[in-house]
Amino acid sequence: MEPSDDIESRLSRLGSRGLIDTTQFVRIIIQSLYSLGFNRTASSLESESGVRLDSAEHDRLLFDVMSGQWESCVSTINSIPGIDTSSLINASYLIWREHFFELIGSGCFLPAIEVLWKQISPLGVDSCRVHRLAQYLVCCEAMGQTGSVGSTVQRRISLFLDLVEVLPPYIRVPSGRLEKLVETAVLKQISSCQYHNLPKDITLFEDHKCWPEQIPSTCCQVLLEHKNEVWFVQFSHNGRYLASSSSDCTAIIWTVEDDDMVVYKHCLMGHEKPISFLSWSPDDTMLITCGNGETSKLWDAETSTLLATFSDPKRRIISSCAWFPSSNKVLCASSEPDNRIFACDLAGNVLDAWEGERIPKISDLAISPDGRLVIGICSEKTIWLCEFPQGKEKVIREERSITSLSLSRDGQFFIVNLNSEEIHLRKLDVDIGDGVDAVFKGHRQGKYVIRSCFGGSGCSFVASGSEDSKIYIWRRKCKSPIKVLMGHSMIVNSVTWNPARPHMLASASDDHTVRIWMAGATLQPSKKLGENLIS
Amino acid sequence: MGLLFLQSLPGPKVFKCRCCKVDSAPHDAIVSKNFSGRYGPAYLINRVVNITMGPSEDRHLMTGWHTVNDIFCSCCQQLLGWKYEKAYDDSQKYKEGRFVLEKARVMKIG
Repeated sequence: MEPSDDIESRLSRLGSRGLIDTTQFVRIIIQSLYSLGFNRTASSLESESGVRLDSAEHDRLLFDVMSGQWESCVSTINSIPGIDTSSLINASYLIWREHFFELIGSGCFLPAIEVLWKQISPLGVDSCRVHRLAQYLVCCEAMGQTGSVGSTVQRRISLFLDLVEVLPPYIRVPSGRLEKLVETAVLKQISSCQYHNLPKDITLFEDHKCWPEQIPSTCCQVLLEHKNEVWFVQFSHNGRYLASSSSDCTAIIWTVEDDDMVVYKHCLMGHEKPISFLSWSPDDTMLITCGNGETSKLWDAETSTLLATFSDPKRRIISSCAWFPSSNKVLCASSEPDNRIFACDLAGNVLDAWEGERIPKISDLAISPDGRLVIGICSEKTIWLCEFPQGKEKVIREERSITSLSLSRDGQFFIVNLNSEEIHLRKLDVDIGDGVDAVFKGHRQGKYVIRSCFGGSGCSFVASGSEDSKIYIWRRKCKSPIKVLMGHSMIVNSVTWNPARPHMLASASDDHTVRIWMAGATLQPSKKLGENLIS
Repeated sequence: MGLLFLQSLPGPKVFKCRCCKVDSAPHDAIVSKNFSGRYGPAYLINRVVNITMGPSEDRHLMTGWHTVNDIFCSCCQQLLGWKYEKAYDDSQKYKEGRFVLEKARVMKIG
């Protein structure tokens, strides 16, 4: 196209579907050039294309407002094609109100009253506003005030800005329009990107699309220290440590080095029964381990010393526990001989207890990261949400038995694994309805407690173990798994995704090993070899 | 083999597996006490928990041909009875979906 062509001889519509009007497109470009500071380019584009940034009505209106010619303002507005009645009324109201204030400001009360009667009231705006104007008039008259309320020029400029808000957008291109359109497109690409996990710069030159290498898929390490089935793994909140517990009655703490290698730190011994559950304190200094049908123990994570044992004189079994965000109180659920939920401090002294006939048997317990909500799985089929310490409660019934519970890091959602080989995602709120937000299927679960977790950047993925020795990863929006990891030889009991390093996943299995999986995109070629044995 | 998911039954009267003492069935789910299993008297029960099922088999029982699945305690793998999958006689249709629990293999608590 020759540059000196007039706008009419160009295509009047752009894009493959003819949706984009060329004039509007050029106006948006001119507006963004002006906002970036390229005034000369913008004005030469205006002259070259023959398209002006501001419409004719815009210039007339600006002139009328700044010179105070109110009647011609109103007639300009009335002449705008396609304006709807309510915008017309709002705009007229704004203009006459400004006139009203200026008259009062200069002390002409009688003309002000006339404006109020003849121009503003017939408009039919909300009568409260009209009454307030009348009150203002009476006040000013009574106090004999005539002083101006701010400089006239500034008031008129702000009136003009208010007016363009009310009028149809083609009068004046909204500021930042081009940036907003581009951002919308990019966000849409990101949200439809299936494997979007690792933070990467968005480039405008091509559609954003991530490949499966973004998700942990290669097994880089097999940790063999445990001597029996490994039942639970969890990364610490800062992602620098990994804790695993096993049916050999020990728990092991591992360090995650800077080069993403996982190294044995120390072993916590002292339980006499297999450890079925462990929980990091929110500040990652302490760990609680719950034995299966035994008491819980509190350990210092740095030094591996036993700090306290939560037992009680009736020798109740503690099934699960959760930390309060302050890291100095713990909520425990116990059963047998009677069901009890109790909060205790770090020495094991019971601070608060709920017991009695009505307390159900709680198999899994969690506290939201802000400490406001407590969630428990009662009698296997009921989810119980409660605002803590006193507050609203919500009970949700599931059709099939729930085996485990997991919260997302931001405390907005939680997932439960069901016996019927489904994972249900729900919003963490006392006021939610009973409907499930999302269902994930594909893994196998029947007899055993299989745990799942949220993970990836923004917690946009869900991963779960399975009885067929595979690990399943779903995207939160999609029912079928996007990736299945194979490598274990027996059932995978638990998975955990590193909160600080979204490219790392750890899994625990009955084959006595913990496996570390990494995203292909972050691996150096040398690390992609099979297994690294840690001595 | 992993952490077994064991369901617990509320209610004062339950049946527990004689070997490993996990809950098997609630007492109020009994339909009939006059059944006989392989090892003696048995109950017909609506609902059992903590069991694993064996493969489907066609068997000729005292009351005719049926398709049944053996049920085992999921904890100790003891044979507890069977489940009626399908009955080929119209008069036996009421048994479908229900379980036979051998009295010799469970104990009544409460």
